[in-house]
Amino acid sequence: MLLYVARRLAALAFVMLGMSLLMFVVAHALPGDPARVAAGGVEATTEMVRIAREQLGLDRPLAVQYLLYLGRTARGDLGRSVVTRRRIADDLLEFFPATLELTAAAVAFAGLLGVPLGILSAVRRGRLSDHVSRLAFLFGISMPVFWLGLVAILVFYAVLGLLPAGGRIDYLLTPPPHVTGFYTADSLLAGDGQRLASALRHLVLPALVLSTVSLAFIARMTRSCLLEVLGEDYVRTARAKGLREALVIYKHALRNAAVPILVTIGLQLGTLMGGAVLTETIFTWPGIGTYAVSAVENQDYPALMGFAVTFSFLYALLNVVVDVLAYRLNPRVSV
Amino acid sequence: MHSWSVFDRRRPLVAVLAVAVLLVAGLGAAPAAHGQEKVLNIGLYIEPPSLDPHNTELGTLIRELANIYEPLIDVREKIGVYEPVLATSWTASDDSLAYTFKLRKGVKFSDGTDFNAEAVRVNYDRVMNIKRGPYAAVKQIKAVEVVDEGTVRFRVHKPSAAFLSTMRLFMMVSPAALRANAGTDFGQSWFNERTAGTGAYKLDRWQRGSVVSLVKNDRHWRGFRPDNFDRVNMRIILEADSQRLLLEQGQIDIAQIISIDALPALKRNPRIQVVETEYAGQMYLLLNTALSPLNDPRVRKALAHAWNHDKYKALRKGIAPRADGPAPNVMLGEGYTLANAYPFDLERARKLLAEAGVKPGTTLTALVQKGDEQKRMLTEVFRDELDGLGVKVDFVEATWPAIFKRTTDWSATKDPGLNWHVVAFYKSPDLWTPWTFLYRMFHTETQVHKPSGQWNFVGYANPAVDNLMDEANLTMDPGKASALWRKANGMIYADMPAIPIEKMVEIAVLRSDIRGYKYHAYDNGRKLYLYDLSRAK
Repeated sequence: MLLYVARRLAALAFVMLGMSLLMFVVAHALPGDPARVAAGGVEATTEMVRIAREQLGLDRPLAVQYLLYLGRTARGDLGRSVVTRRRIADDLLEFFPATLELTAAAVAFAGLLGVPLGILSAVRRGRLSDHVSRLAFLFGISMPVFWLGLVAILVFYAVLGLLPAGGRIDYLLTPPPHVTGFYTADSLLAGDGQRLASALRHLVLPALVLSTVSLAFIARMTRSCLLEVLGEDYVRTARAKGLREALVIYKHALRNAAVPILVTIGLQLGTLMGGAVLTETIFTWPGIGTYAVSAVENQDYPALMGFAVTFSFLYALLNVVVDVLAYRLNPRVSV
Repeated sequence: MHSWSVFDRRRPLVAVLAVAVLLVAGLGAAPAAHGQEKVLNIGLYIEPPSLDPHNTELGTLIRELANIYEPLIDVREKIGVYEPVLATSWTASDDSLAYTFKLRKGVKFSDGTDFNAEAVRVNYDRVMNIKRGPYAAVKQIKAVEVVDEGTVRFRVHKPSAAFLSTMRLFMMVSPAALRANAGTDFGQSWFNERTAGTGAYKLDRWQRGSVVSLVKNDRHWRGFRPDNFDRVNMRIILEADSQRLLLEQGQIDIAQIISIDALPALKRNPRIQVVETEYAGQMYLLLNTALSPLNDPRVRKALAHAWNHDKYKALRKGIAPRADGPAPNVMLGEGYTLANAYPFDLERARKLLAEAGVKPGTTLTALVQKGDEQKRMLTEVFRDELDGLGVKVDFVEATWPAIFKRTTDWSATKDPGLNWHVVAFYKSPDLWTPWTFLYRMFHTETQVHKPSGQWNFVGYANPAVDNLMDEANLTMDPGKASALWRKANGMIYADMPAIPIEKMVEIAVLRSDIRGYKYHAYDNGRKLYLYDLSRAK
């Protein structure tokens, strides 16, 4: 097991190198001019753009630029964003955890609601509740997150006045001292009840909205896996033995269906991380999605590469974790 | 029948969840500052890239940073007349190569440092080293002399009537803060996210992606009225619908992004005031005069006659006053008007196209800026009318930086792969002088690909017009200069290198209890004068 994990982590390094090269090539193929953005946009004169280009080293051959980038990265310097003019490491440290917090909460909601709903649907297959659930799943997968978000704000903020319309924390409060970058966790660590409550209130709506994407998916996956398992001989035997239905489902059926369900949940985290940008925009959640989109629009090469390398690292790491968990749950799964 | 004891066990869990939800909803009630008398909340249009007045976009500089930092002089409604800010008076030498400014006494930066002639010199050095932001304006200055503590002299490379108007972009930062935090980048890292200026407000904190919070600068030289705002929260809310909801709820007092469709409902709301002001920014449809068939003036005039402004205005819900000409009339002196020589007339257009030998089926390439609905809309209206004339318009969508690069590269190489005929372009009244429109957009020297390039995208090159503009720029008397600019304006209009589309209308949406909101023709859209604002009791 340890050897397996070590091998996977070693492979990560190659993944990141490959991603950086790929992103470098793609970024430079994009039409546009980061030198102009750096120089100040529309208002910059041609001369100022030329100066910015020299300052950023964009007038050098591509291979040289890439090697210089690798050299700096090895020394821990990810460069400076052309848009925020800040160190990219600082940008990533701020924006990545924001998205992770949102997507983790979304996937948690999706799992907590989706798995029981999937079980219900599987166990009551063919009944009205199954049909209603499946319709609800379809709604969840089909409804654009963008629209759902606006409706949610309208209902819960404008009409009911229960929850805030956006942001990660009340804008009058300074964020808690940075430890993980998760406002909820950091508030908890700092023992700050007011900030924790505010962070939770701000997290609920965007996480719920974002979870609709995964909820349906997880529920359907649970339903299918469970149905498949419920048709097996050993389940029929267990029932014949007179075991309580709850025991049949949880101890026997679900345990065997768990691996694919778990893998789905884990991978949803990765998928949502990449696709949270719409939710981030609606709820003014300053996360990595918005940051990456801005980097693409402004040809912010260093930011794009920093983002891509970090994202691929996290995604690959996530896969390793899911695999290890799957093995722990069901040792018959070969690694 | 299977038992459902599975769900019996769920009931306590459901109860716990319900209680948790109620708790969370009830707790975390934030300190309520919205609607608080002395706090102003603004829904910003765009997050500033940087708070450094020497390294940010000029839009941010003029809109937001002008409340934190100040220049020596600013502009007034009348062209050629300037507002004393950090300088109280000034004189120019006879040859217009030296300007001497008398500085305001007793001014301090927010960190307590004195403002004086030496501070101006330090700021000059900084801008010349960083070469961003107001560099193009400041590099006109060859040298800065400290005459005495309260007097500074600028020596310029060459005389220019536009020089003084560019000085509104040159803002002063505290030399002490600069010295303490210079680092290896002339203090850019520090000034990016912190402030040390002479303006009415200073930065309290900036939470990226969330809010820029300013507080009163107690050392500000004008002093404060009892009704000035103590704090201004500029919130970054990127969605028009969200800004609208927050405005209606009173959580923000000024909304900078509002969709035009929402205006009728907002106008009916007694708690909201909608202020529409025309300002001197203009939208054009640029015509590439260096590429066939647009190199034939008859074709360009035909396209001008094919512009259906009424149709466009209707799409803009009536908020689209027709642009004046190459330069806004208001910049060319009192009483000046330019008659519309190109009324919407498809027959005339057809005739001109036939005369020029343009066959039906000819295709033009239009560059359309991604994310800008207004520019897309107007290009679509243009395309529709041309369709009726048998001329096809192909759209190529790209971001603004990409469009800039393509037009620049084409101008330099004439590569057919980069051909473009038409692009919508917005010119702001960043400087209060006709020079910023006519010279920067239509002089041979300002063609985009040249080292001296500015915004002559269309490759317009008319030596007679060049001479007029050069002479106007050397004429220090505003009246005499005006006459020359007017002549140039007329000549450019006759050549039609750019169809004047609309004048920009600033639509400010505020809570009704906000007082002091004023807009000037020389302002950029969404400019904020925080010092002037207050809340009615």
